[in-house]
Amino acid sequence: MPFLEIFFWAVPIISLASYCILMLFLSLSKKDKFIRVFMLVLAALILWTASSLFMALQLYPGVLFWDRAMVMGMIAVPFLLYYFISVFTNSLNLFQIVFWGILSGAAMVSNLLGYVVIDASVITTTVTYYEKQYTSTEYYYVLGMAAIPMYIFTSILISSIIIKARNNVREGKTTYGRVGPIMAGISILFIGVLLNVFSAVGKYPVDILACFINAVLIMYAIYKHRMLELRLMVTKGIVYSVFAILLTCVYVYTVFSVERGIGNSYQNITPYFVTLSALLVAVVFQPLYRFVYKLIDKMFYKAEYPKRQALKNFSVSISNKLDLQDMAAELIEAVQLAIHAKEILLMLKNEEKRHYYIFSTSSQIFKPDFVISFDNPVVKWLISNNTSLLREELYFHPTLKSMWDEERKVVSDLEIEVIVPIKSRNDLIGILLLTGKSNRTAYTLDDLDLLTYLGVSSAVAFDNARLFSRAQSDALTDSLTNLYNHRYFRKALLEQVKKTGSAELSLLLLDLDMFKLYNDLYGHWEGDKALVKVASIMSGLVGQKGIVCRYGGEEFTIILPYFDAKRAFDIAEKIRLEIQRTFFNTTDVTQRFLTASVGVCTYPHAAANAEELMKRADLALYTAKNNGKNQTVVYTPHFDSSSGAEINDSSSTVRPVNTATIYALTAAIDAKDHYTFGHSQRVAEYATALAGALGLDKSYLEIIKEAALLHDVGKIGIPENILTKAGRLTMEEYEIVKKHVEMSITIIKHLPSMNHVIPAVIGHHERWDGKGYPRGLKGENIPLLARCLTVTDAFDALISDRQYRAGSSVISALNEIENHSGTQFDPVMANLFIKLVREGAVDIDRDRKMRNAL
Amino acid sequence: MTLEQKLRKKQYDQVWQWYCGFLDLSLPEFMEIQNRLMLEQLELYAGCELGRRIMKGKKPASVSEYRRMVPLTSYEDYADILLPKVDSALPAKPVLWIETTWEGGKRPVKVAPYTESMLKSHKANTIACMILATSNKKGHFTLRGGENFLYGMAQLPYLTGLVPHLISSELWVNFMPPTKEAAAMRFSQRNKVGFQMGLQSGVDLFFGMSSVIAKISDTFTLSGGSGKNFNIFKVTPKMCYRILKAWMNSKQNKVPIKPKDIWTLKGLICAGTDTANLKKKIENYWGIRPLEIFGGTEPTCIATETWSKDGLVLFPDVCFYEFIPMSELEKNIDDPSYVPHTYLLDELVAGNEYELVISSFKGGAFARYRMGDIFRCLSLSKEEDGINLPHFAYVDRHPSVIDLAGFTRITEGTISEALTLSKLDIAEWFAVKEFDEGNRAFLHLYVEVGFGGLHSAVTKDIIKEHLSIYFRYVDTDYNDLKHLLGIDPLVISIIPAGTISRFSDTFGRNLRKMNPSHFDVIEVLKIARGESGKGVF
Repeated sequence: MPFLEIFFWAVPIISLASYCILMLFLSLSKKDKFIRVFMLVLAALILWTASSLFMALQLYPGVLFWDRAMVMGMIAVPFLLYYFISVFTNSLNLFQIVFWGILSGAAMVSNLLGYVVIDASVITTTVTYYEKQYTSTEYYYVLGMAAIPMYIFTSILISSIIIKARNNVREGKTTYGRVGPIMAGISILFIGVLLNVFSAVGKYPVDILACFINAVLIMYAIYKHRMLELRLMVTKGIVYSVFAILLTCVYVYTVFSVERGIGNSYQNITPYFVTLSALLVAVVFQPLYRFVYKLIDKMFYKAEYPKRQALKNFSVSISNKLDLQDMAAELIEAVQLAIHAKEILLMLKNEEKRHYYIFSTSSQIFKPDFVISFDNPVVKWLISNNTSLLREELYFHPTLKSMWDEERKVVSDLEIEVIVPIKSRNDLIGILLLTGKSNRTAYTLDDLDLLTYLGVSSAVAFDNARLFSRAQSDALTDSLTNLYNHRYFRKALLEQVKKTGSAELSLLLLDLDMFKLYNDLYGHWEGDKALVKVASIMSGLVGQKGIVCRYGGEEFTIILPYFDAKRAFDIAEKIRLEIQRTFFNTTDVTQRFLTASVGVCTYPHAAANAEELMKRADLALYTAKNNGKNQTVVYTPHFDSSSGAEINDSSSTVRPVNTATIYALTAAIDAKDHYTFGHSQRVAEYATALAGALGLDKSYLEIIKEAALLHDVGKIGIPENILTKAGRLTMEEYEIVKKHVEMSITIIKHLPSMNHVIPAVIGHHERWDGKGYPRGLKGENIPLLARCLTVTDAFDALISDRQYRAGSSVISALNEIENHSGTQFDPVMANLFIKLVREGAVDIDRDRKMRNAL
Repeated sequence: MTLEQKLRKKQYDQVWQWYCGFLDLSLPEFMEIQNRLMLEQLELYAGCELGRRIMKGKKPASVSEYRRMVPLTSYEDYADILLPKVDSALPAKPVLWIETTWEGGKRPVKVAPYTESMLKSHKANTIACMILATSNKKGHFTLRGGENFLYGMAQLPYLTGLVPHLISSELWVNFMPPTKEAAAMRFSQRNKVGFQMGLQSGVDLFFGMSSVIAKISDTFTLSGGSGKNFNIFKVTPKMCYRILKAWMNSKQNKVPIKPKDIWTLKGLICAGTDTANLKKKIENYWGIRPLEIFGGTEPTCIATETWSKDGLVLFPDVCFYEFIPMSELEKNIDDPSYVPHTYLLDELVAGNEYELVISSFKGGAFARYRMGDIFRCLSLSKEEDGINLPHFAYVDRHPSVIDLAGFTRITEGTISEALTLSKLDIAEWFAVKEFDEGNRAFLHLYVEVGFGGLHSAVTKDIIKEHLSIYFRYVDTDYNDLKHLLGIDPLVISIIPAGTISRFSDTFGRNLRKMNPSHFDVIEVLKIARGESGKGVF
């Protein structure tokens, strides 16, 4: 078939098919006024092209009829396009519409009356050329007197459409992107129509070709620039129905063909043949029917398939895993398979730091320091809603209006498009962040539902994995300080020594000085808090450079790989000084005080293996303790030659210095207040006797003696006129006197190694019923030695003379103590002391005589 | 996805939720937004010269500390930075400066910086207003895009000029006249051209000053609308039918044509200080209840009415709101050194009146800024609408300012300057904002003629003539009142010499020059009548 003939047939067929498909799409869409008007335009275009095709086919009633029908379409199209553009750009004008409508109507009437096309025919000629026959088809027509005015009118109308569209673009009513392709299509159509005037060209369907190009451009405008928002409602049911109709037609056609073919020759057996052929056709068609149905199913669920598969795989694999890293990888993989997000980020909850941190990512684009704090409105939103959040919602959702610009900017900078909650009940365990999809399409509602489902279904598994991970971690960490425990330390030390090889590795052994007293003084609750604080100081200063462990009780170890002795000493000193600064150097005497001693040993210079390293670090610590505590000692080989006795001896040289200081201070307070002269000495004797009777060991007797001698040392800071006032003290003066306890502590804290007396001194004015000062402690919360001092201090005060009164008798003093037993005094202590005095175990008379002599 | 795309996809629920969802907030949720955004602003203040100056170099750790630390401010506190537009001293980089009249004559304009983030909020809130204007039920609205929008507001650099530029990125509406053409027109010309276009193509939305809408409605006739530029051939079929129908109805019933006979609006938005007085009248003319909104150059649009159109609700993300009760305000007026206490939104009492104090969010400049606007708290919630946020009614400007039809703000300084320039011998005066029978505001100036005046022809008319000239001279907006609205904004009453000093002697306090209390005015007029025996003349 020659090219021209194909052109003559194919162009109208393709054009008609295009318009029909477009019409089908539009009819299946949700319709608005734009779509309805556009369907009218399409109907006119279909009339135009269908008539052209029927004319070529020379269908009944004839070529002239279809030619005139085609001209009707040619007249209707520009007018309806004009109407469409007017509606589309909201510039509908009644008079213009009426004007063009009348002219178009007149043109149509002229056409119907035969003034446009007088005659038309299709001539097919056969030419023999080199023994081959060629058939050519040409279309001939004779135009009437109304043709030229009709062309002029059509040209003007098409021009005014283009002008109207251009003006609307200029006025900003629409964009060139949306109407540009339509304008181009109309221009081509205009050219096609103009060419029809010249019968040499017009005998070919150039106008139909122009129509086809126009149809392509319209489709392009709808698809690319969303000229019309089409929401297709093609359902599987519709496709099934269309297929069923087609199949039925083929079936009927086949059966009828058989009937016609056989019926002419064998009329008698025709019914049997027909029935048989129908059965055969049915048997043959059944597999085809099933195959096509499957095909339709696949077509409808093609996009869903990877999603379903990803979900299935994820559900199976996640239930078998307890490792957080593995689970995170599974989740990210599932999301990537199902959604095709470019980047995925999984954040998990950190309860302590009150934020969500990056746990796993599909790539490295995310900043590792990016966190989402608990108070971020997004977190609150995800907790109270059970759906995923799109980025654009961050700007609009009412409760998210409280987001800071900076918070939104982070999401925007990271190109996050969707935020998915990983939520178990109301606990937001984690957050999944997704950037855009790799195919650059927007997230659909189905995508969001799927993501939310993945978030919810993985939440329980994540929660379990987190608990498992925590349990694993708990086995190796100390629950109080979150440092590694003794078990881990032993293992880590061996590993690190092995790993370090011949390079240096230092071990620090740190012990808190007098921690038992700290516990006695402030209670175990405060003691635990101090341990946590010390742990945080060590972790902060060591960071990633070493491994910090709690060895046990108040002992800590720090493994410092690649640290020589000098650097290890420096870091040990930093830690020791920081602990001292935190706990000791404070102006508020009721604040805690605590110091640390550190022993340092370095491998391989001072130890050959891990065991030796540990032993020698311990020896260095022991030395530090015995040398007066609160210091760092680096192990040197001469420690091995020193015996424990020698070390003890060296430490004992501290005590005479302390004793001298204690007596000097006691003398100073005696000198300031004559009436209390010898008070501290006497309290020391009574208290020591009482402590002895309580069954306390020798070291406690030594401590209470020192505490009793120093318990009023703070009175050095009280004005003498108040201390020696003859009358009763005013409330203000009494408040000043009460401060002597705190002042005593201030002084004692600065005496070397006298911290151990502080619990007794600070508590000697506390009362059993909790009404004492300075801390208002009650019952057995008051340190034992302090309770001991309270009774003896009160007893001596009662029997001593004051400027404003004579001292009570011993009997009445004991009665007084008995009366306040259980309120002011520990009943056990009070009764025991009364018993001791009454039995003469405490020599009161000697003391009285001595005082009188003075 | 733009608003237009959402509307085309018929996602109306989501559109409502996004733009009007703030009406579902509970008061604690509203306050949480307020507090959190205020903390963001404190961070921004801490990093700029203006903030350091306002907060005296300190950084408040909480909103309550900020309220304790920072004094109440007025525009004077910012003028040296804002008027020369010193960007570097501000909490965030402005992308736009919006202008307005400050104080006629003495200080012609004040400017306010707008950051990108502020514009985003403003855009969203403006769209919320448009949606609510076209709504008469929760969740139901008729805004669809492509509406003919008769826009009767001032152009840039005034705040209202921002609206067409902001919403065009979200939604195409047919502004009448088109924004570009409107920029080259005068205010009155814009309104005229807009109405002509409205007659040809129809009007769906209308946004204007209440006083202007009322005036246009008063004088509305077909011929007025179809002036020399009116082209009958451009009229759409629908409008042609409506005009014809209205004309026939008018002739048949011998009643004037009202705007509602020609147009069926989807929404009518109005603003301005006189709105409360004019709303019913506007509704009667246009057949639709107008939606009142409230905004200002410094804070942007901060409040809108809802679908029931009876009470303003504040937007949560524009400014931090504090309220000065009237009792505190009175103390402050009598003793300017007195620092009034402020209360928060969740501490208000229904029925009481408050002066609004705002602190900008999102990098704006103003901290604890006295807006000078008085609101009445109508209710703390509205159960029938399911809104749990306080509703307000705009009362008026601060008593020291007389605002006429939202066009001009006359202060004591403006009047003093006009009096000085007029060289009239006016010994004492006080000014009161009053309303005529058409509910239109005017300035009632009570004057005592001085010694010189008593011996010359200083009549009421001469005083009015002189002062009108000088008011127009010192306050350019004053001229627009007569020109645009046909209002005669000045009424003069002469009271006998010495009346005001006798008031002071009698009551032991001075009479306020601007808007003295209603009872003080009665007392002054009693004194004026009693001593002169001639009453006010």
